[in-house]
Amino acid sequence: MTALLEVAGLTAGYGAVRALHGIDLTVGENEIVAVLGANGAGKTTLLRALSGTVKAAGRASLGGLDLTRTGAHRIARAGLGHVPQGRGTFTGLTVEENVRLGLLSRPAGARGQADGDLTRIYETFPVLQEMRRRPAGALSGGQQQMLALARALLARPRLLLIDEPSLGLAPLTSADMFAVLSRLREEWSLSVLLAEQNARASLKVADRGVVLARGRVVATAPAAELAADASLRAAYLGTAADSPEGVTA
Amino acid sequence: MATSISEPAGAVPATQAAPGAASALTTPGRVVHRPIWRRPVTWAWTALFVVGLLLPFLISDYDLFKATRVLTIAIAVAGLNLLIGRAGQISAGHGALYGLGAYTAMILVKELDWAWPLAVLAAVAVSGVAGWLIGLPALRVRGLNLGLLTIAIAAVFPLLLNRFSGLTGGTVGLQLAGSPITPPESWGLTPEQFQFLLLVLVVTVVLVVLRNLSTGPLGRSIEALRVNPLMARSEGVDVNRLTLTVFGISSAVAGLGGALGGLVLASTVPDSYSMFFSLTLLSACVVGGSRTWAGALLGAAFIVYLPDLISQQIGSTTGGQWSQLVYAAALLLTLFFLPSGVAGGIGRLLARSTRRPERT
Amino acid sequence: MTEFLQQTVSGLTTGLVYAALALAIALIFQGTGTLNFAQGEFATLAAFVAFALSTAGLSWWLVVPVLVVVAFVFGAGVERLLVRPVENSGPLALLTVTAALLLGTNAVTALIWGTDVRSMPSPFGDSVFHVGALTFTAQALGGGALVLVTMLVCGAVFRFTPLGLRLRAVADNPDSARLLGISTGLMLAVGWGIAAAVGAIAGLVAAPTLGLSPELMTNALLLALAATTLGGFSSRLGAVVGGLLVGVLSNLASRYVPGIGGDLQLVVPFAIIFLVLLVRPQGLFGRASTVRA
Repeated sequence: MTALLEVAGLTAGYGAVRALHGIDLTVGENEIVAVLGANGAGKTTLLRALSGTVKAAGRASLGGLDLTRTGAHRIARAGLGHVPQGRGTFTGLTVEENVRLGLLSRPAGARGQADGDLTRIYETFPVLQEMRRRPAGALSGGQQQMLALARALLARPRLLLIDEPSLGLAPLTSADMFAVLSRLREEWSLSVLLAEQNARASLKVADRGVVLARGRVVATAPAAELAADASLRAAYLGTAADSPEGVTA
Repeated sequence: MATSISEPAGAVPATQAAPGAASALTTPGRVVHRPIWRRPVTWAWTALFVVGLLLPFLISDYDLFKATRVLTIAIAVAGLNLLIGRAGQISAGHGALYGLGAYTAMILVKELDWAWPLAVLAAVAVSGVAGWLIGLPALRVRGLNLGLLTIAIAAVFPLLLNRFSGLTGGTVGLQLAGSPITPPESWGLTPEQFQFLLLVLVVTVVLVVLRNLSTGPLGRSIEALRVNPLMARSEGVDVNRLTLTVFGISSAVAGLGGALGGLVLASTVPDSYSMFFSLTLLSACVVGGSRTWAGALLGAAFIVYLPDLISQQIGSTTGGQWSQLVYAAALLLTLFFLPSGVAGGIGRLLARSTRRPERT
Repeated sequence: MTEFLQQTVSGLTTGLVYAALALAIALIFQGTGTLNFAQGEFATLAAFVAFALSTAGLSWWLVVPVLVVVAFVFGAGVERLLVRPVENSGPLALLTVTAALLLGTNAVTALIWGTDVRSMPSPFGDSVFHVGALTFTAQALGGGALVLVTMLVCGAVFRFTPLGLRLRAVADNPDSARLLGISTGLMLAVGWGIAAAVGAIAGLVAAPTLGLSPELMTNALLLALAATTLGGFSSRLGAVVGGLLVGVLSNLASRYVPGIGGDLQLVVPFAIIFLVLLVRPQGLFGRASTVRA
């Protein structure tokens, strides 16, 4: 089976500073892959390079489309969704308008299921329906994260990149978020590339994990294997001391 | 002339940093370690200065008169360079400040019989204060407010001149029988020769002062202001006060140019200081190269000689409009292809060609 | 009292022109993040084009839609060709480009049509109506209605259509808009197109009253900038309300404040800009956070 996303020798950076040094990675159809690593390991840059918001070189293809030579909005239309770090909410628009932007972005073939998908979204995130007339800027951090996820899902991506969904959320909200993530694949038939510092929680959701350190892949393994590997965690994912929300939490 | 088209001594960043209008992130004056008298740019400027002193005895008084006008405009453009090129703030209203200088000097000389040097100094002070006042509301919020206010000033200024005709002579403006700037009789110079020499000296002083200002400690703060206001603030720069100071200085310099320009011409009319004149100055600044002091001279020459050139070719009825179109086109082309202006571009070219042999 | 009402009404009619121009300026500010100094000149050029179309024998019913389409294409084309190259070069370069556009458009207009003031016939005829003691010209009523309809259509496009939603999304958060497959470049061009079309209507309505010349909108630009400042650059509604207020205020001031009349009316918008920036820089309707650096 050929993978949906194939990445080989991908490099990227900001100006003269290079943040990724040759990343190799695949994500198969219907697979959830967690990208793990400490702060500054290159997780966000990797996701941004894939969605075309950071210039990248090397090979990265989504179902045959060369991502390094395609503009961000074309990549998005080709079926790549990206929930960026900090959520990227349209704060001046209402919640409903944010949601509608997601619907507007779906491929023509999926227009028919728009109503059903919207109902499903409001079932999953009832708070979004309650607050649909409010400006999105008035939502709490967790609600904005849900809104960002809902918006991306309604565009019906084949591959969804999610960047640090638990960042800045209270532990309980964070747990809710991971509960939602674990159901994504069944309900939306998509592949997910999930960047997270919270290795324990994300490895529970993922099929495989890829560990980054200083812009390089240092380990790739099935999620269960990674979760059990204490030495790897200590070496690359931070210890309990400097990462309270991390693997040992 | 070619060697003169470069930056004054010490201001090297345009040749060091990557291309781009906002590119010169290096601190001025740090890169060059050679003593001042061994730098090629010093020699180029010295040569230009000597040529300036000799020129009055080589060309006709009519040509000198034009050249003097170039120099008065160059002063205003140099003031604009400080504001745009160094501090990264825009003014679409420097024509009005130039006009304010001209009118102040003319009124003082004509109505109050002031000696012209005093009138010029007073005009500098008035323009500086006016600039400071204009800047005041613009600083409440950073951003485009200075552009907003200055274009408003540019639009309102000629109307005010027409309105307060008791003081300004209305649409007819103010005229003197002759320029009060005349040489002592024993010197044996024509007024045009004397005026040109005077302007050469004034331009030199202005450029040296502005250069020292922008390479000194204040210059470093100004540089920080342009590159990153937030960082400048965190490093203890009072961003608002500094912007206001720079805008005040820039306005005073423009007023100086205007005062001398008005007195040399011995005439001021409101139409000379329309919004279009302000935008033409902006064009001179950007096309010449807002980060190079030679750019001020080039830009001024561009906007003084171009209308003449075009009128000769096409006839004078539409000459003004064709020039305006050329200013606009030159402005756009410079922004697209030569963000550091003509002088900056040539300077970089020269630096590249002279640096290579030194290294090998 | 009748006098006061009449002045207010005529202030409102001129205010509608400023409101339309202010709306155009606000649209470009929200999308591209710059003031478009050339907005007034675009409107003047449009008025000349309308004049040329009408003298060529086109009926006014056709002139208006043709003008809107031509202005839209012109505005979008200017954005693509002349603004796009400096899009990422910072606010200074952007503002300088619009200054160049002002100089250039004004020169082109003057070169094609000359600098003399022409009288342009009103598309709405010369009749005069009396309501009580108030007098309305057909031009004022028809022009006012045209501007009002234009602004309503524009507002409806932004509020109720997918295109409007995309335009607002790009203005709000361009990065996120791209991640949703919205071409920000295309939306910016569309924004400039819509702004030029709205401004064109302002020019068309202003020309019969003010006289058609390359200077047609020079003063109106200042009034519109004051309107946008007053209403807040981040608010389309604010720009419109600001335009009406500026129209009424400068009309009343020129009638009742001694010394302010004729050209000096322009001191009113200048004072408004000055005071608003001092007291409430985000304007009446603006959000402080959206004022761009």
